[in-house]
Amino acid sequence: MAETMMDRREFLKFSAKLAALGALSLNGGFSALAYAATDESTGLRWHKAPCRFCGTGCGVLVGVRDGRVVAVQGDRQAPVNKGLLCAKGYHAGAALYGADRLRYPMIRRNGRLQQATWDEAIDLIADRIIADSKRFAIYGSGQWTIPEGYTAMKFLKGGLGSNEIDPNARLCMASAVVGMITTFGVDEPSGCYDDLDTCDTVVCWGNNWAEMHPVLFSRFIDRKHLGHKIKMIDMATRRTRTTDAADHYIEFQPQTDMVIANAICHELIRRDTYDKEFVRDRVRFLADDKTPIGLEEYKAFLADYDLDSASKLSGVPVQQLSLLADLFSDPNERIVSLWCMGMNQHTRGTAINNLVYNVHLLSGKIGKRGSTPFSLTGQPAACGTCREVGTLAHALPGGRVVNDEAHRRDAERIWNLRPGVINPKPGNHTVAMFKAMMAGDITGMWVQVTNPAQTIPNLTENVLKNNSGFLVVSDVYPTATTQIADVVLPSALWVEKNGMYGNSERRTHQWFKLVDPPGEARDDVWQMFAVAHRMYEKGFEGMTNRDGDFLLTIKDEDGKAVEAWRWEVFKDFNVDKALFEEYRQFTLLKHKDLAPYDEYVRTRGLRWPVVRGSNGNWNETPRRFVEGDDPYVKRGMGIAFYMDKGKENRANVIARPYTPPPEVPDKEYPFWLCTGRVLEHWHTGTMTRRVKQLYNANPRAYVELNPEDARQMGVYTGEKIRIVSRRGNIVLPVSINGRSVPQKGAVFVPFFDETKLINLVTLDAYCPLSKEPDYKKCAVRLEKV
Amino acid sequence: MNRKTKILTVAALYGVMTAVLYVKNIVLAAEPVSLKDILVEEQIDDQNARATLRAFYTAPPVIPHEIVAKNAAECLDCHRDVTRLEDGRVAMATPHPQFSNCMQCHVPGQAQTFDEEQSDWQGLEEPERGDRWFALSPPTVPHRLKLRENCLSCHGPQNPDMTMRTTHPQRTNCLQCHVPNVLAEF
Ligand code: SF4
Repeated sequence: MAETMMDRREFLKFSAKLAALGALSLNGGFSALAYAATDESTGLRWHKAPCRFCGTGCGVLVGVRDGRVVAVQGDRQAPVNKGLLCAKGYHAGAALYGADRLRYPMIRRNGRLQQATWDEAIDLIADRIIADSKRFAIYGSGQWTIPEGYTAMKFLKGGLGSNEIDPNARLCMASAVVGMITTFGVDEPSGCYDDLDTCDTVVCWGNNWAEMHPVLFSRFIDRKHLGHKIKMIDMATRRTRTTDAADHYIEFQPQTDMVIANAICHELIRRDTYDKEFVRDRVRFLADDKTPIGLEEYKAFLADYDLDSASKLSGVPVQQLSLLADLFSDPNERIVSLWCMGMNQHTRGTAINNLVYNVHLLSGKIGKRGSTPFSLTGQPAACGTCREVGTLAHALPGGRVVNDEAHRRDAERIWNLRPGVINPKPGNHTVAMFKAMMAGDITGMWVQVTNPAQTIPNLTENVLKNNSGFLVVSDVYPTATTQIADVVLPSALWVEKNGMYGNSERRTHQWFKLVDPPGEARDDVWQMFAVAHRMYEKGFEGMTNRDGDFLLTIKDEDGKAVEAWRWEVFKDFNVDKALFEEYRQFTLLKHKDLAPYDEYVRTRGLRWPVVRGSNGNWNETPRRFVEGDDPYVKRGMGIAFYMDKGKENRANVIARPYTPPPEVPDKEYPFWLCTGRVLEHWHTGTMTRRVKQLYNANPRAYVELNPEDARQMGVYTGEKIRIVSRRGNIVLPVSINGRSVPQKGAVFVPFFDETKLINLVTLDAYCPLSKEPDYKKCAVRLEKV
Repeated sequence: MNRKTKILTVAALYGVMTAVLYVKNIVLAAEPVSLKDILVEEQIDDQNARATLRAFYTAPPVIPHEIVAKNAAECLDCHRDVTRLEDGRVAMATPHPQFSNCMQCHVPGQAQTFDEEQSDWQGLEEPERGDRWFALSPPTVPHRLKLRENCLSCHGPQNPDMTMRTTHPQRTNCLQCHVPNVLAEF
């Protein structure tokens, strides 16, 4: 430890000097190198960190005084946001100081949660896991830091020899992952945010980025002030703030995004305006079942999607479909397609992801400055932790999968496990995991950094009462999930611990702990270390490695083992660095190379693959698969999809037919229900609803109605109505012509409000490939109350 | 009104205002107070009132009024330049019209339903007044300039908070005399 601390102190001293020098520069005191500096005028110390909240991954400066966070500002050195934030980011500091922060562990005794010591809690958890280790699950999060997710993986897949781990990211980006893997052979977007600075047009596929990725939205839309001729096309089922700034609004019937994408491809081929050279060299056609087909067969598949038929199915006028086809036909038009939950939370989520790639592949609009399909992520580390570390039921770190023998051997080697410990059979995905818990097939579960009792689709009384199983919840505030827990562990939040996140553009961020967590709250990583070590002490074989040592052994820079499971040791040692250096070895296989930890300390994040150049510098990759940007593309290749499973550097255009949604409005349930987020609140609102400014801006959930539907029903803004589905119902106040306006025949409800659980109503049907449920469409009826 | 009369009117108004404050405080105060103290006090009051609109110094202020605007263009209808509304209220000019997603940072602030007991947050306080080298030298800029690059949007002669107005709006190159604190500017 001593050594790391020294480095850090030296660095701080150095940066203070830089700050003084900064007086000479216009940019102010924060040098490009420094990650911390003191503000002479206020006595504040400012430190860099990524924002706590969304997948945009803005850089913030956290102002700390007397051991407390007192201010947050946008970091001008951060290439993502260049000094700007959104309301959530500015108020991230206040999210630490809700009066009801969890401050001590609690154990349920006689039906009530009662204060307990860490020792009691850890002992109880260790005993329960040992008692039924193969049926103990971990439910994690896209807000897990990279070291947190990595620890959970090693604990469960290495320690328990089980695969019962899945993250809440299953509910938000699983379709994006499977879409990417089926098209490109490897996960994560190849483009980057810089493309928003150079594109001519942005096409939003059901994506209200004005509220969900506000900083990216303004990064694009502010270009209008610079006189750039840019356009935005908003395809949606609801008019939003994005629509207000759009040049064209294309309203479609839910689920028919699939039809629109196929119609664009149909037109590109009919007009003969597709990029022939690119298609010849870089594309392969596959049928829905993945058997190779030729261009002719693909054409035949598209025959159903002529503009007239597509218009009929989707409700989009032919003229608007033509407009899209015109744009994608123009070889000089630089287009970025954006999407997030609208396409991912979809019963054909994987297929619609494939279809949008088809559009970009046929038109050659990929891998060029300003042209790329771009799947945005919701959570700050959905990419860094869930997708890269691979905290999924079927995965192992670095893009590996459990049912591949060689991949298992890799993990067993790096983790120094006894051969054969890793189980080849994938575990339950999220929806199945909760069903298994209800059925008693999973007997215990540890939930970290997420709130499933508010977010699992089709919540039932069963889930809410937790009638089965032993539930451990690590969190920072009381939530719907802590209410039903058997053990509640108080966690450190954001800058109360060291951390690393990875954002939507492959950028890995690092931050240091800046303030102490309140009361006895402790890091999630430490919690797992402590339980693992207790199991080891109790003689649980899984927690030993091949040499008989503790599985989660951490070594200092001299190679000496550190007793990281002891809090007094853990809190002064940079366990993150040790874990990250170990994890880094996993990242080479899929060419997602990460740099050493210290490179992330120095910078405002780096986009992988980060490869060392001949001059010794660690170079990031702005655009993947692009010669000149990506060191893995051979000279002369231009664009190469080098992770192609067919080893031809090609991407797959997959013929995915339109399939209707599993539940459509009918006589009894005549309205579509869509759910989603709002700008001011983060997911289930546990953090943001404890911040005055954010709470006041949007205190309670509501149901948005189309004005015509409201008139027909005879209801007004503020009046309460009941929303009823085949699964459940809730009562909400009506909002008409408020922030957003759904299309006729549809209603929208935000899910942030724990007092109004909309997931009692939603459907739990999911994409058969990604297992991601569809929160965006189900049929409901509205009743006056 | 030509430029000269405008300046004169502003100067006269300012004079009247300080006189009123002076008399008001002399009458109310037990001990004699200086004009400077009174002005400082008023300034602090105004500053405190403004501070209630933010979570901490440098946080974007919330929107204190009902919102009818659907997008930035509509916000800027009133906030591009200072606008006097029919009911007498004054809409301040934004210092950063180059950003076009206003409600990305400025969220509605009218509903005051948050229970203050629920939070232990203590945000960074507003800065003190700017330093002067000696009594007559121009004060330094006490606050950051980030997102406040246009001085006159707050210090212009139209600001309803009179204590924020410059006494010399005819001088338009503010930073020529009032130097910013670069060390505070990250
Ligand atoms: S856009 Fe996302 S990352 Fe950026 S400040 Fe807002 S919530 Fe944070």
